[in-house]
Amino acid sequence: MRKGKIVLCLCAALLLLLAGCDAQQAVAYPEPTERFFVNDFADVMTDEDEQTVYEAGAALYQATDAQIVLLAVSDLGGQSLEEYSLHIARDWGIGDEEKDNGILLLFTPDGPHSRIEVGYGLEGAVNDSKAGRILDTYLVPWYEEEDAWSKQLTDTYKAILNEVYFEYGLTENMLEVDTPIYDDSGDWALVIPMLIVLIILLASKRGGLFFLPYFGGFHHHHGGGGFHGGGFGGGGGFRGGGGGFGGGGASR
Amino acid sequence: MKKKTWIILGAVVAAIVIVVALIAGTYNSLVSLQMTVEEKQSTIQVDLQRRADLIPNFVASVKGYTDYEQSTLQAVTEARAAVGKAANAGEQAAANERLDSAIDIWVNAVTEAYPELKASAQFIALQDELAGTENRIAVSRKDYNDAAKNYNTAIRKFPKSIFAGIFGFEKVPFFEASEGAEQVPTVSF
Repeated sequence: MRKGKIVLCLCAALLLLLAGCDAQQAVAYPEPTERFFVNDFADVMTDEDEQTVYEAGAALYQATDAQIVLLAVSDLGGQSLEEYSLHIARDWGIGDEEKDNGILLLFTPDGPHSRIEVGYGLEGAVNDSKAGRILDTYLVPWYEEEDAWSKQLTDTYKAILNEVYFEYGLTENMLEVDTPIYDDSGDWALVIPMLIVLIILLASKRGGLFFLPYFGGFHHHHGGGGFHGGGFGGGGGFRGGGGGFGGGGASR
Repeated sequence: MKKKTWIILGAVVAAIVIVVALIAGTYNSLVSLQMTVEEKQSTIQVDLQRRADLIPNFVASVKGYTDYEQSTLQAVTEARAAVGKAANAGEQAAANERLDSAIDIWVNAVTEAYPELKASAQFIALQDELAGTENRIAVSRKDYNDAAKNYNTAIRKFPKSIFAGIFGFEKVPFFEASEGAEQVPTVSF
C-alpha cells in the first residue's frame, strides 16, 4: 500500500517535472488580433496611429491582395529576432498562399529591435537592402525616443506599403510619408552643407559616422496623398492566407 | 463445396488488394517525403548560390580599399570555391560554415582598416543583402533538416522500414557541419 503511494508520488513528481520542462521550452507566441494588420501587444502605439495603420493595411489588402502586418511585442521570449519573426509570419500565414505576398514588421521595445520579414512573393519589391534602409530611415534613429515610436512605426509601415503599391503599379494609392532625415525633392544646396557639418560634429565627438544618409536609390513618392479606405471602422475579421516566408528581410 | 472455394478465393483476392494498397500507400508517402527533402535541398542550393553571387559584388564595392590583410580575402575566395565543390549536404554545410566565418573575418578586417565604410550606403546595402542571405540559408537549412528528419524517421519505423528497404529508400544526411569542420584555416597576420 505504502509502496504504491510512493510510486504514485514519484510519477506525479516526474509529470510535474516534465510539464515544467515543457513550459520552459514553449515560447508564448501571440495570436493575431481581430484587426490583423495592426497588433500592438507592447502598447507602444496611439489609438489614432493604430487606426491609420489598420485602414492603410486593409486598403492595400483590398487593392492588391498583399498583407502587411505590424506586430509590436514587449519581448521575444528568448528567441532571436529572426526566429521570432519567421515563426509569426509563417504561423499567422501572412499573405496569400499562392502569391506569398506578405510582410511582417516586427518591433520590440526590448532593445529596441525591429525586423522586416518579407514573403517570397515580395522579395523583389522589398529586397533585403531596401528593408534595412527603410528601418534605418524611418525607425532606427528614434530608438531612444519612446514618444516617437508610434509615429515612426506608422511611417515605417507606410513606407513598406508604398513599396508594395509601387511594385503593383498602383502609384496613385501611395501614402504620404514624412521624410525624416533627408528629402530628394528638398534643396540640396542647403542640405548637403548642413549634413557635412553634422557629420563632422558626430565624427569628432564619437568617432562614428552612422548618421550619414543614403544618397539616392530610394523611391520617393509624394502625391497621391491622403488616406484611402476610410470605411473600415472597428470590427476587423481579416486573417492570413498562408503566405510563404524564407527568411528574407532585414533586422536592426 | 463450390461456394467455399469462392469464399477462399475472394478472401485471398481481398487480402492481396489490401496488401497492394498498403504497399502503394506506403511507397507513395515515402516518395512524397523524399520529394519534400529534395525540394528543400534545392532551396538551400538556391540560397547558397545567391550568396556566392553576392560575394563578387561585395568584393568589388571595396576594391579601392586595399590597406588591409589581403589573405583574409583570399580565405573568402577559397571558401566560396569549396562551397561549389561540395558533394553532399554534410560537406556543403561544412563548406558553408567555413565561408560564414571567412566572410566575417574579412569584413572585420576591412571595416577595421576603413571605419568610414560602415556608414557608406552601398556597404550597408551589401551587408544587408549578405545578412539576409545568411538568414535565408539558416531558414532553408532548418526546413531541410526538418524534412530530412521526417523522412529518415519514416524509413526506419516499422512497417515502412520493410518497404523502405525493398524499394531502396536510403537515409539522407542532415545539413550540419561535423565537428571541427567549422574551423577556418588560420590566417597569418
